[in-house]
Amino acid sequence: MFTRLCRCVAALVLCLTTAEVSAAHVHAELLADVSAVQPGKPFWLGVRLSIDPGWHVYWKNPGDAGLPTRVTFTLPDGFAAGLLQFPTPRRFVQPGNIVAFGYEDSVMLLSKITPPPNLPGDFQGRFQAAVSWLVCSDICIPGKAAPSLALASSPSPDSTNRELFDDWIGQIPVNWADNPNVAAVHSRTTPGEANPSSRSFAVEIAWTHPAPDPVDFLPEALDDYNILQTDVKSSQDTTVIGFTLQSLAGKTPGPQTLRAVAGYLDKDGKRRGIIISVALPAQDANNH
Amino acid sequence: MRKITALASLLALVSVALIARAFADDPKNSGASIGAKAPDFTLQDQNGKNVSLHDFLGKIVVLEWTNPQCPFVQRHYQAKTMQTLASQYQPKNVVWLAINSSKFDTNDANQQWAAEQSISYPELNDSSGVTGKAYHATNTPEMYIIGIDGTLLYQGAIDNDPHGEKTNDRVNYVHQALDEILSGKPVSTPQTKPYGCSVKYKD
Repeated sequence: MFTRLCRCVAALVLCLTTAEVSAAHVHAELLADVSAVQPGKPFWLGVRLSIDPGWHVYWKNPGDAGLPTRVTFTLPDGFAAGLLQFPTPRRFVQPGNIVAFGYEDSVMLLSKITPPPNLPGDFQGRFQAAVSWLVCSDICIPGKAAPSLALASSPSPDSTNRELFDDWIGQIPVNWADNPNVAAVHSRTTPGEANPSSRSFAVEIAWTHPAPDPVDFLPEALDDYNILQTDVKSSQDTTVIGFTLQSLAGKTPGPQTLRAVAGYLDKDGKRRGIIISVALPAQDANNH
Repeated sequence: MRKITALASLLALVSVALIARAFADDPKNSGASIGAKAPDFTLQDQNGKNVSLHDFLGKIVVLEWTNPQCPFVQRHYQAKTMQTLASQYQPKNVVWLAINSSKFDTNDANQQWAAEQSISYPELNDSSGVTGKAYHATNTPEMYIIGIDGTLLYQGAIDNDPHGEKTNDRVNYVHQALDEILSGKPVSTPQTKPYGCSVKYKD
């Protein structure tokens, strides 16, 4: 009886000190790209989710269904967390033409952390990430975890998990102008169907090499519009993304910008994303 | 005689043009649209009895796309969101129909769920997915409200709280719309984005 109690306590202590936590079908870890921290020197924290085969978790815009994966960091005093970065997701289409944006196999969500400039030399602290997700296959299961990591300060820390971090940082979408594979991006409205409440757009990407195929259209969530249809055509060094928006009934949206990611695999098979913006003119008050 | 023929031809031409325009106007993939006639259907309830939308012409009808295996639906049934609304508005001549377009759905499963949850309204089996697709239902839960004349008045989420964490700022869109319809007002929020699991269509 006593031995069993000791074992339970030992297991609990082990669980609390580990950086890894498991929930159904998802295993969450908190990793850093440095072995120790230095005053004022930014480093990356990454929440890596390992997902069982056949299951997926969602992007910040989950698509037609699902829930965005969320991370909230708890940091020692004086540390600041940058905006949570989502690597370029995949586009999944489920029966019934239901579109989802998310990740299979694994994903690492990242945040750039800045230590305070006056960090003492004997600093030791715990960093924690409260993560919540919805993991789905044929059924969906909500999950959460709070993996944590202890770091101390050091005048000359090592770089750790370099390849892993470089791999995931490379998958974060970049502005198209900062991507050497893209020469230009133009967007325009196109003559669509004669429906007063829907409008069609085309975004043309001119690549500096043969267009990748496929290219995924990954739009951020739009409060005022439904996306009725999307089509993507690549030929030679051009990709054209066409989509049709319909404003929600009862809404007359003002002018706004649609931000989206065009996701693709580069010539080395690495997932990349470019950020594109499309100006949406105001909806005429006479449109339904 | 020639004048009448000419007029008839002109009318025929105009009719064809109007019909063509009507089809061209139909947005692709939008399913049932707000203000248009809600698509009719006939589905079996949990006892194998046929239930048709046209049975309820003259009444307000609420359609609840559901799937007992979905955690969003489970959360709402634990909180009795749907059951409370259904019984609250039933005396006001509002009919509540739950529809399951999941490929896994069976009458037996619906009977079991209805018994477990003490549900008094029909649980309709749409395992073929035909009705779900006619309404372009994408989520569970997803809600539709049909007026007494058969036109669609609301489509979208049950409320504005996908994570289930709001308190004072939670708005139940179905409750809001039903109150407006029953007091003869226009529906202030006729369409919202639904949240929840994807409908598990067979194809």
